[in-house]
Amino acid sequence: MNLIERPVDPLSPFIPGTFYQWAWDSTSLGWLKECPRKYQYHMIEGYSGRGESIHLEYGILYHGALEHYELNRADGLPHDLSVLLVVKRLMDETWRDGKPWRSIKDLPSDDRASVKNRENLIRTVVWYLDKFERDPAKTRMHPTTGRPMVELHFQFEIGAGIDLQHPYTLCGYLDRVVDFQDQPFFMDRKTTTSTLGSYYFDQYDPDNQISLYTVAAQVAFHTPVKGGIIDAAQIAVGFSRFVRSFVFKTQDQINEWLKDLKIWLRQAEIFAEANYWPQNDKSCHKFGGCPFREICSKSPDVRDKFLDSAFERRQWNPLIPR
Amino acid sequence: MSNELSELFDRDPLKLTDPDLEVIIKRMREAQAQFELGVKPKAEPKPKSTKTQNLLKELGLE
Repeated sequence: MNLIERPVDPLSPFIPGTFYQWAWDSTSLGWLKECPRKYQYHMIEGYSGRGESIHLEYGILYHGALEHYELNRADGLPHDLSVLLVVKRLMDETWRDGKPWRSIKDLPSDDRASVKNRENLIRTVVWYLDKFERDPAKTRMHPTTGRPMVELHFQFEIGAGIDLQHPYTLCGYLDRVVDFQDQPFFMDRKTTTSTLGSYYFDQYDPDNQISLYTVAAQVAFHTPVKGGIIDAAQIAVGFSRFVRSFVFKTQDQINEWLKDLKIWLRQAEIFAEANYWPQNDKSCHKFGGCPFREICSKSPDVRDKFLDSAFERRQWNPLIPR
Repeated sequence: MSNELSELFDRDPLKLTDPDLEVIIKRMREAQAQFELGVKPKAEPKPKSTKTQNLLKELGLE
């Protein structure tokens, strides 16, 4: 297999007919780093937990609303009108099949993500936009388009600088690029039900996504960022709360991450060559527990049956725009 | 959540006027102001689900 071949289907992150992944985002790279078997189930076989899509969809709606607000303001609309247009759009987007999506009234009591409901989404967006109406972090304008640098898709080839044998692509989205006290940063927005304390923010330093996005801001957008700002929204019963935290990266730290990335990508090649992704059984209970923990605890000969009944197929593709 | 807000959230967005949306935003802002003043949100009973409401109506109980 010649890894330099490019896929015929530009939307596949894999070289056709193989499990060699050439396009990586922070999610798929994170799965690989966490546990090769988790990577296999999610990325190679396309399994997803039935409850997982809500967090993704909630994040997409939240990000879309804040992006829409930024674009309205860039077009010269005042704050209140921009908020109203955002709420109108969100109400439309969350009306599905003639009824409200995830209405607080209709969520079953056993829904573990019940706080991520329609009403709380609208509340969180309104509260956020009012709190940051005069945001000290100023959105950068794109040097060529002149538009706000929000929801920026990036895709760039790596290899030359870090001596990889084969060309690989890193891709993903930067939520926002800002200037804060005359320093450029990327901003990454999170919604969570966790309390926003040091325990929460510690998980982002060091962190795969933050390092990858620092590289992306530097390479894809030629913005010499020194790191990122985690812009977290806690969604709780009765309130939403917002806290920001900085993560700084030195160039030496970034170089180290790229050096490590080379080894991780080589590891991925070895797994693909062997058509085998081993369990990392020291990760099963971390991060709130792996969704595949119960599958891996069963005998290999019965796992497929359990996978098909407990999970749905929803292929993650780093190349498809969100 | 108040009945007024609940009714607006239950309405088809195509039938929501700008003043309706302004009411939603106003109520959200009032809740935010109260939260920032340290007022705990009222522990209101969870609104009945549409399914429950329909059932109660069918049974003539509501």
